[in-house]
Amino acid sequence: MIKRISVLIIVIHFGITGLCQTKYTDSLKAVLTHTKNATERFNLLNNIVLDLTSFRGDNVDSSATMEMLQIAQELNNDSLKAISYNWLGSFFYLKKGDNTSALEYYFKALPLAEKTKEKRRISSLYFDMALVYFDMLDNEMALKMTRKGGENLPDKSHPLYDFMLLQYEANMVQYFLLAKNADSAFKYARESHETLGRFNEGIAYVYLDHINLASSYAISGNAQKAEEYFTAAMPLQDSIENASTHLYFYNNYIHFLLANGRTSDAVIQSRRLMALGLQHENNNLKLAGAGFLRQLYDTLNQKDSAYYYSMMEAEINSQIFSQANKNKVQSLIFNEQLRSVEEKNKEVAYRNKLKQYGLLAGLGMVLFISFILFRNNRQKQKTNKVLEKTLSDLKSTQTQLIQSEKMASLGELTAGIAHEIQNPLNFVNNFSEVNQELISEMIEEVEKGNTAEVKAIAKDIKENEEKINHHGKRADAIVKGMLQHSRSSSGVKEPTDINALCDEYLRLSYHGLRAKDKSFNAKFETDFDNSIGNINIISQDIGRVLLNLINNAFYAVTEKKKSCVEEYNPSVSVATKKINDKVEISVKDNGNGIPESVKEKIFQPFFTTKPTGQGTGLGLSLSYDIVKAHGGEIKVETKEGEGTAFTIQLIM
Amino acid sequence: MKILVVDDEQDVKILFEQRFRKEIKNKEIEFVFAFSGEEALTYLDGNNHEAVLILSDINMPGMSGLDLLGRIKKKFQTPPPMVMMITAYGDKENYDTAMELGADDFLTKPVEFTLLKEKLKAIQ
Repeated sequence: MIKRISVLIIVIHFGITGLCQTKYTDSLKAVLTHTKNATERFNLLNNIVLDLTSFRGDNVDSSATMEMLQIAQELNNDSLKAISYNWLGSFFYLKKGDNTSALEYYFKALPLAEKTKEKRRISSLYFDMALVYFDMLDNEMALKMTRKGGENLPDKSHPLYDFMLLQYEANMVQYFLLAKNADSAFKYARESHETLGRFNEGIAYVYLDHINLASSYAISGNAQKAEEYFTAAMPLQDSIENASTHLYFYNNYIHFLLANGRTSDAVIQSRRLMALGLQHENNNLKLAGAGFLRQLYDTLNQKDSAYYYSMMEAEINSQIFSQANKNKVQSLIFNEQLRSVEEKNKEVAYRNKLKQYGLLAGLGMVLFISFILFRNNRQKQKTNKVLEKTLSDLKSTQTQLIQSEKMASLGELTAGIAHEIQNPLNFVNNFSEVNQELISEMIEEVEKGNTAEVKAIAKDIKENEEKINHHGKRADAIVKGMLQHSRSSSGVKEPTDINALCDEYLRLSYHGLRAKDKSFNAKFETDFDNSIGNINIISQDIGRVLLNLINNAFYAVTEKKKSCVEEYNPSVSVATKKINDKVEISVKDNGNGIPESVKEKIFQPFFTTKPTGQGTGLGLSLSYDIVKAHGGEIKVETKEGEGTAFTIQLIM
Repeated sequence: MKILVVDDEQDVKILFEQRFRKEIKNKEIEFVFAFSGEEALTYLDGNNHEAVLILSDINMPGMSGLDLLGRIKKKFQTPPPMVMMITAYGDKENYDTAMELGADDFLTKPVEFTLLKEKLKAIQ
């Protein structure tokens, strides 16, 4: 009961909207008389046809459609052409039931619509084509077309989205009805019903909705519900001219009546269908009507009538499915397939092109990156060259610095050497002068015959000669030492008296410093282990180490003396000691010691605590390298304020 | 005349003894040797006023000749012995310092013994 009322309300509601639609169309037609602009006129005509056909369920206005095509061709506008061909197809299909001509126009519209990429038009064409295939009893093709239409639905924001969705759902219902799949038919019928509820426009769709629901109930065996909806649909028929929808109604309704054994009702409805077909001269309707009637009269055993309708059926069939028409449809389908293959080929070609471009772009990127890498590499090579040059510059600077360090210590040596040479020379000169005197005296004594005195003098002369020889050798050793020091290291280890070496450099250092600084003075002590003998070392290198250590020691005590009270006795001591197979040389001072913070750095090159210009900072660094090169060790023990002891251990 | 010779070179003793053989023989001059400044001071402490002349080297380890000079001139005031400095470094700075500290004369190495003898004669 409630359902019936709701149906009634819906009917009334749509009756009113239907009335409004008529007014809307009339007002559009009024505007049309004043509109001269081609595009505006086209749009108006389109709206009128759309309103009449889709919303009101009238047949397509052929004159309006023809004018639209004319405008579209004059403007040579693909989009407008597609719309026009779409309408022409629908005219032949909806009104005339001329499936072949309908498909011909749809196939003309399709490439144009695809060219303009208007999804609304593409989906519309596929849905319309699906309807044609349904009437041609080609369900699978109809499904294929519906699906294609579904794939091409416009965006949800499109004003006609719901309208297009409704067509998709309605088509799906029709497919599943024919496939006798009640569940799926129902599913789409309900969805379609909901969609319709969202836009509430178009009596033709209310009619369709009722047929969908009624038919779904019918195939699922709910006769009562089916009858309700079929009955609700019937009053709407008068306001709808659309032959195709009527065919849909009658097909389902008559099948329902037949299934329920209501033969007489089925005959009535089949006659109505036949009358509509004759009225519109619509072959699809006539064929269906004739088919039902032939079947019914056959059942009722009215052979004449059955024969009459079978003849009519055969005639229409031969018209619709004539070889010519079949061939035409086949060629249309073939052309469409060809076109879609071409489209696909184009797409493949396009994709290939894209791939090619992608590849080219990739290749370009690779080239670009390679170029950058190449450039970076070249820059690196350049930088490397610069670095190599800098390195070699640094190396030569280092060599120069080492040389200047040598020369600096040589400079310190020079004064000491002068003094050291002066002393032996002093003796040589003096003793030789004394000997001259002694020889003169001796001659005098010989003449006197004083043998004892002669002998005494001769002894003195001999002693003096020994002194001369000793001091001459001493001077010689000093000069040799100096030369050795200034020469580059021979790198040859020679047996060396380490004690003598220590003594020599201690003296050199002491006198050198004294010569530079008159106020300098310090006590120095030696404690040599005479059991060491000769050890195998590069003497000029070790000499340099000793000189460095001793110089540092003297420097340390001098510094302390400068800042110290008078009681301080600066003292430097050098000691050698044999420990198993090693020789230990220690240089001690009682200076200020080395601060803990500096201790770690003292062997680093260029580290110096001396004021700028006074120390190269290479002394200890070189000493360290030399001792290491000898396979020895150099250690430092220091206590702040008390002094420092450097110890070198060399393997014998 | 007693002369104290201070030098760290041991051979100085032999040299002086040889050079002044005649003077030593004739007891004109008596030599005493010290091989460091400290030794010289110790000797002077123990034998006050015995040495009339001191010949000292400047460059010696420990107490330097100049140090020794300063101390002698301070300590032995009535009258201080004559001090003659001998050094390998005949530079002006050394000379000036020595003179400032009260050195009586200044000689450079190698020692010209003829010159030294003349100077000693003058003192005598």
